[in-house]
Amino acid sequence: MNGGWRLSMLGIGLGVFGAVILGMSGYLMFGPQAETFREQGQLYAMDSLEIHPPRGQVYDRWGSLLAGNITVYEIGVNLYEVQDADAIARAVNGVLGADYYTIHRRASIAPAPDAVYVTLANYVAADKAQILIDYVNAQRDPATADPGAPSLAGLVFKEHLMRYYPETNLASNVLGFVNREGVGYFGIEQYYQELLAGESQIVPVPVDPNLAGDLPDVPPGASLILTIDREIQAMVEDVLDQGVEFYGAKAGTVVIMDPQTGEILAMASTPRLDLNEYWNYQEVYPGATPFNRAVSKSYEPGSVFKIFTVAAALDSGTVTPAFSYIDTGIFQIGGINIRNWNGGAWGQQDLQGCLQHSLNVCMAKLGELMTPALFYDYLNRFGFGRSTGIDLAGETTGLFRDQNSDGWYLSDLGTNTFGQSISVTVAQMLMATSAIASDGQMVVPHLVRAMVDGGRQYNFYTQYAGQPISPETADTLSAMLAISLESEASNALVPGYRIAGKTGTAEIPQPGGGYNRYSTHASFIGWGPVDDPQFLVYVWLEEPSSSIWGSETAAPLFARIVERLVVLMNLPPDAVRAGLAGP
Amino acid sequence: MANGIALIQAYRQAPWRKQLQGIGAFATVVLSVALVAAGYLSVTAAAARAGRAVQAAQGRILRLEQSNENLRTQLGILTSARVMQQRAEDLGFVPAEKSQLVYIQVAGYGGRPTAALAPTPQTAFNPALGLPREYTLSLFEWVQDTITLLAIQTGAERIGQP
Repeated sequence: MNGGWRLSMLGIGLGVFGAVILGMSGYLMFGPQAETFREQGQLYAMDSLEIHPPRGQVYDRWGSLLAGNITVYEIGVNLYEVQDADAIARAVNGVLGADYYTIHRRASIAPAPDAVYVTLANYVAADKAQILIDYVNAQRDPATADPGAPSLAGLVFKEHLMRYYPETNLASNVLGFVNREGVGYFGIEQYYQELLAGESQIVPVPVDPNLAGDLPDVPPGASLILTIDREIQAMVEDVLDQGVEFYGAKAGTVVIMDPQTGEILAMASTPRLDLNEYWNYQEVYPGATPFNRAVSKSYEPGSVFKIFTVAAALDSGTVTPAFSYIDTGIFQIGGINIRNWNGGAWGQQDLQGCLQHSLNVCMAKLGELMTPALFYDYLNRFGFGRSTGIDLAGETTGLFRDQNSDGWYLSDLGTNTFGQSISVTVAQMLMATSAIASDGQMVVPHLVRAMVDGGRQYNFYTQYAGQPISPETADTLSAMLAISLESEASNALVPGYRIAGKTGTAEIPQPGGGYNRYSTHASFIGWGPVDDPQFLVYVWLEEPSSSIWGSETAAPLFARIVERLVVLMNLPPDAVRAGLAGP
Repeated sequence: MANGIALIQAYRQAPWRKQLQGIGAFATVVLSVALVAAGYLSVTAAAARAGRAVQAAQGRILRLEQSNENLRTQLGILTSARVMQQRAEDLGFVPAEKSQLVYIQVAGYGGRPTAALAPTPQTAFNPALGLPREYTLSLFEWVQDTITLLAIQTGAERIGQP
């Protein structure tokens, strides 16, 4: 009985304690600060995970990888776990070559709630990171740990993906590059940025494992299959580089297109960048150097443009192939005198002679016969002065003025007919010429053949850009151009294959006005086989020093390319092809 | 009244019996609560383990996806044009010249096919077309089919009767 009051007191004490706990719980749950506590609790209940979907791959037409993703590492330190900042700085300096003092300073930061993790290096190649990972793992493993060895405790390795180009600088003008923020610059990477990048998502992840659920499916970026043929591209770049050096040109551009579909098989221009070291961009492309001259630089094409003047004259019925005139070597239009490339008079000439001898006087005469309205209507139909719609970033449209434009003079009609006072891009020239090469049908040049998204491949098909001339005109002009090359024993001829084409030598306009006669753009555009064109090749050399003439620089370079192209395309000589086709 | 007197009488004769009953009832409640708590803890712990496993698996999926990307690119590096060209040269191959080629016609050969990395929407597997009807049949449709089949069979038998 004596101990009864003690037990009672204990019971009362425990009861009061329990009541206080219950009371506090109730206060926390339903009191005035309950909402604040709940919000604070929510803050720590969820973590966030940023999921970056892998950027889509880029392949050539046969499935060879041109752009992919590679694993790299971010290396940092958990400041709470660092035991030996000196050892970490020495190791990172030794393996990565990073500055010792910077690393040491970062690894020595006193840990605090707002200073837990510090990045030491990012985008570290996997092989280098692996050296450090192996060392840290060896230290952690009791079997291999050396108690006397300097401690790298606290080092943290986070792997992530980085854009990588297995072919380094192959097709770099076409591909463009991606910076470390995942933004595409130039070429395909910029043009198809949204498709390739996919959509990053920030996903809330509950800290409470009971609430763990499926992460949302973040689809990777779409992959692209290009029209580019890697082997042809490599060959073209190789031959172009040799040509630029051999002819002493300041720069060069070569594009090969299928004139029936608009598929670009190869597109190369100088200079080219190792895309895995895109930070050298300013060094490789100083000043205003265009990344891809085929689409981003326009120029006065010169005589290659004559094919459109003749096409317009023939198609409009202004002249027929039987057209003839007396070439006196001079033709006055709009107050200026048009002269031939050699200043000479060529006497009696027909349309074939006009093309074969590349006579400026003849072209100006055709322009006058057509009238400005008709001539410029045809140039519009051929797509000059407009973007072609090629799927590459940075396309320019060139300078094109017609009779309704400000600053146009009648003299411009004369000079425009042989490719002066008008500037074009290689892409425009290819699109327009496809009409002549391929029965009057003009095709849009393009670089993407198919897109792979969500496990499905969506193939892109040929886009037609109109029919500026009739099939008859196209065939007639193709035949005339083929005869021109054969009659001149042109350097562009490739034995066994009938080729149609035209050279161009354009003087370069000077900033103060006038032209520099000794500094030219040398061009050649050609296609073949004439009866069933499989390739359309454009060659452009800027300011060749060995010769100013397109016939002596761009034309032989065209022939060298086509000789190797027909092998890579498995294209038999015309005679063999006729034999295989049977009776 | 008689019951109350009997209870008081019983308590006076053996007070421990009533105390034991009270303790027993309390212990039963405590034990029940403990059992429920233990069951709850066990289930919660299992769920937490499964949750952690899910989180770990999700992390592994992300790492494997990265690894796939990495391996695909490594393969691209190993088969890049420059590497393949070097390998061919090391094996003694030289580029074929135009004059060295012999062309033959192969019946039915349509040329080298371009890359097909995934099925097109037209050729992709369509479950509605690819699965047998038995797999997509509802119970109602099965009954309907069975009745129709029976009716056809019965009709056929009648027609077949002499």
